[in-house]
Amino acid sequence: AAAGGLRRAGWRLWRSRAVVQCQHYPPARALQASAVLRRASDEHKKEPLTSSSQQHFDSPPAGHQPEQEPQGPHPSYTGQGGQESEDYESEEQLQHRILTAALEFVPEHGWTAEAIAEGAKTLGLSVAAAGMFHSDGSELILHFVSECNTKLSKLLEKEQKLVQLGEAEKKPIDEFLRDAVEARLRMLIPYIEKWPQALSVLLLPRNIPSSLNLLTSMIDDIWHYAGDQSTDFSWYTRRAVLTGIYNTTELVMMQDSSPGFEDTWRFLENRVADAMTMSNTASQVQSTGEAVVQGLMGAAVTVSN
Amino acid sequence: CRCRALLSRPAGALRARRGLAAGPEMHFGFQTVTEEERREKIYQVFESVAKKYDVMNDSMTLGIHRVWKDILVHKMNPCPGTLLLDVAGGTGDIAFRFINYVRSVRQRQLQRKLKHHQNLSWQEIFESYQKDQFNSLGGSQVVICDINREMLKVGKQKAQHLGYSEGLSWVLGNAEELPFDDDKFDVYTIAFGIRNVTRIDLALQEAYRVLKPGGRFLCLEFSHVSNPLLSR
Repeated sequence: AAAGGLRRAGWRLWRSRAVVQCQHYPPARALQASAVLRRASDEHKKEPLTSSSQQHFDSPPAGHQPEQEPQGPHPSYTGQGGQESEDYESEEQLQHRILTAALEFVPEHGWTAEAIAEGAKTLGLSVAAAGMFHSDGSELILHFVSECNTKLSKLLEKEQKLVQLGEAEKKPIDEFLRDAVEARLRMLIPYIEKWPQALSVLLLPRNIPSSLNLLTSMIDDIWHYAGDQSTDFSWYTRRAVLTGIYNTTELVMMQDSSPGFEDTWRFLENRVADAMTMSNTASQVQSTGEAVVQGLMGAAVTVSN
Repeated sequence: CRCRALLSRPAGALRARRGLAAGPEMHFGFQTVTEEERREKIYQVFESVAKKYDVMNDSMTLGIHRVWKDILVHKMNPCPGTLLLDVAGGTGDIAFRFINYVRSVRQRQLQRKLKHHQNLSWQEIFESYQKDQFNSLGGSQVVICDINREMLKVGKQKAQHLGYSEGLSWVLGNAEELPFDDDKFDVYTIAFGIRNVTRIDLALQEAYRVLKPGGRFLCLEFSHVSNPLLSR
């Protein structure tokens, strides 16, 4: 639990560095605006922007509650008259709500500003609220990916707790990776028709820093819960391999028409097995190499005597 | 030149000289006048210039005002069904651009709908025609509001001449006191108009009042040029 807390604190630090660099998702304006709003109302908001230690994380949740559950449909985000009550909603939270509402219109309108406008309409706002976001729907996609990653983390954490409590068996590495990637890819199923469009938008130069950030943190999460504690170069190779597996499986899923995506899961199984074999082969090669070298040395010593 | 009207000059010294004038002092070009006089003067200027307003714009800005107005509508990125209030919209430049934009967006929408309709039965296609889904503007509307009757007249003639018939309304009104209910519009635009408003704070309050929650306020105006060469 302490490790989990520290990891979350580290994650906060990562995100707050993103605030300072102003280059990552969510958009810089909104962060700056919410940074100003947060500094202005210290008593309610205890989220630090520059430091994140464990004690900040454990600070009294009473201050946090109004942030996590924005109450009622009155976003007084214009901050008129200095309304700093418990109902105060920052611009970031409002954008979060609009994007979440917009997700249900994606199958119909695609990942576009129109879906965002429809989402805003369901919240009682004008359709012009979609003007807060970029006109190609990038923020919607990044929001969705970020939400999926969060869901995956929660799922993996729950499973880990079960294992710790002894209620479940600890899975072997390949099964664990397979299940994690499958769970994550299953979240795409409701939006699978428009997902190729989303992938192409994520590859736009403007979005690459954010999308890469989200991808690497997700892979890191999976390896963390798989129990990876390596401190040597294998840290990098493991993540690179899993990223490759994830991306190729995602692409296979795009054009898979088998019932229940069976082909995709079989492809995933094969890739993970390949990866395992590769790492076994690598260590075998290494030990064989060592044995060969020792034999040669022995032969050399014999010959020289 | 109207664009210099916003440059401020020390009001203190001038106020001492004017002594007996009634009401707060304001600027009109390079003169100093009261609020009422300013309104009158602006009204007269636009009344006399109404017929040649577009030509005047072109000559003063060398045609680049068209680009600016196009950029404004692009930034607005309206979807069909948007209600626009164009204040100080006089001859209707923004309104016409808005209608063109919404029409093309609607075209694309309808094309996409028709593609989906490829495998519908005749009954379903008949029903969709009944629901009158295929109107070209998708329910979008513009209300052009101006304080000057002459400018509105010129605007109406232009609309007729260019063939814009549906989705436009022309209303005579003062930006400081709009004749509309609360929470009605999705977008409020004011292009090169806010400098002619005598009490800008009232105009902004009115804008806030008539806009729906989540609505957008777009203001197009001249500003200081940061490049020292160009600012001469």
